[in-house]
Amino acid sequence: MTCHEIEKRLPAYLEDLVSPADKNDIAGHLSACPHCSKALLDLMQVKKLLQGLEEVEPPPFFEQRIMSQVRQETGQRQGFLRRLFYPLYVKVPIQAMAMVLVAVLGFYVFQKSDPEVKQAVTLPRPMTESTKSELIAESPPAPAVVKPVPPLSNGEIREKRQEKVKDVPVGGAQTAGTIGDKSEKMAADQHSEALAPEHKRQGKAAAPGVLADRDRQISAASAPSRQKAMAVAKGADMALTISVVDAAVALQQIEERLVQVNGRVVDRKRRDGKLSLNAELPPQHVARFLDQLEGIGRVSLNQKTDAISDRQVTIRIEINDRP
Amino acid sequence: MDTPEKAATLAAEEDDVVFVARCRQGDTEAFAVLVRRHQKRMINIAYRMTGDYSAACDVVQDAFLAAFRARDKFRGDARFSTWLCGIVLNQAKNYLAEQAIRLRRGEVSFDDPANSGDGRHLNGLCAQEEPVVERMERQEREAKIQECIGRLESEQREVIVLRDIQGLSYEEIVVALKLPEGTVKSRLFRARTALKECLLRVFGEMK
Repeated sequence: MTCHEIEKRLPAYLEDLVSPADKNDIAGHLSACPHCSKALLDLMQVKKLLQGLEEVEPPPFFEQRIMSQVRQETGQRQGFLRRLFYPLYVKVPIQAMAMVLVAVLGFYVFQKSDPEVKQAVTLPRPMTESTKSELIAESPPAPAVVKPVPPLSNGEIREKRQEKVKDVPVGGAQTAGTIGDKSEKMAADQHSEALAPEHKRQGKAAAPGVLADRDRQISAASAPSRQKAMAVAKGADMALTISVVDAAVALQQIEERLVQVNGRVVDRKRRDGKLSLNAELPPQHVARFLDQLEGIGRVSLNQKTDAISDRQVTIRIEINDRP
Repeated sequence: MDTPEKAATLAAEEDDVVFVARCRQGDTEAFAVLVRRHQKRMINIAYRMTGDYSAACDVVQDAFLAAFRARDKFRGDARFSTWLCGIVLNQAKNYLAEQAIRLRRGEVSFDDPANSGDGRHLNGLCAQEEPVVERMERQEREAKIQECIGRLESEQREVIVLRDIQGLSYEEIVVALKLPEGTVKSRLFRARTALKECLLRVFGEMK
């Protein structure tokens, strides 16, 4: 080993942390090398100098200085807790409870209001004169258009009004897609504004809630005008036009087909020489009924409501004589 | 270490654990006992690390405060004094790092007296009995040694302070510095060699 290597190992040698072989080598070298021996002595002197260093004393009141800071800190912690709870010691739990309550109420209100929001989204825009004219322009030729007529009696006015109301969904359905009972009722109300107050009241009486009761009262023997009003106010799920050679024969055939699919005729009428009827049938037989109608004449579907529920489907059929 | 001294040390260690437990339970005054018991050793460690008495006082004060805040983290598997040593050394190293940054920015001068007020707080009895000339010589020698300690890297400085000045065992140093024993020893040997070379340059001849 060279002197440099020996010098590097001297601190470990002093601590007796070298292997026995190295220890012998170093001891042999040290006995022969005055330079390395001095290096060892210097190293021992360093250790001695360090151990002999005078100790310093803490400054006066050092303990008090530290403890005052410690107390200040604990005091601040207590103060913070006190501020948090004072004057009501259950302040935090109450706040927590209030927060939970607000969150639960918010969730509940949101859950409750959700369907209404959805309904509001599907509602069509209010019918104005301009939009109405647009809709009519876009729609295929409607079966009946209101024409100015001379003053009519009360009964005639009622019937006329029903015809007007019936016309609205035809155009509206083609653009808005789904229009529920509400929208039709709105349209009906809008038209009925032009009528006498008495008729207005009658129109409002056909609200959906009342309809159910009134539907039950309606029978074949009851007043036909009321039945008509009900069918129109309720609105048809589907509206179609069938072009046939002989309207009277076709009407009979349609009624027969209806009976076959467990349906029934609600009313039938003649207007401007055209026959039309309102019918009800179970939703599962609608497709079959339409197929059967194809055999009677050329069918064109004017309106179809997608949201057909499990209740009876109402269909308005207009029979055109083929030219 | 003699057997009675060992027994006394063990008793003090057990005592420390009791006082730490009382601190945890909210007895702030129990911490005063721990401060009183360990402040001198911690001041000396911090002083040898920083070379500045007032800085050492600040470091130790911060270290005690940090120890009080972290009293729940003291698990008791090491001695309280060893645990406290680690905190003091960390605080001292933070101080040195800040000083180095300030030095680079030119906020402090390298020639600033690093050992301000050293003589005033030496062991009072020895300082008074010692003749003035001898005392001045000793102070000058110690200042040079401290200067050489200050020139060591902080990693080497801390092992030499703990081992050669404070006389801690390797096991205690391993716990305080959280380093493997081999690393501690190799750092210590390099530190001794570096310190020897520095002192030889400063003194010319080692007396």
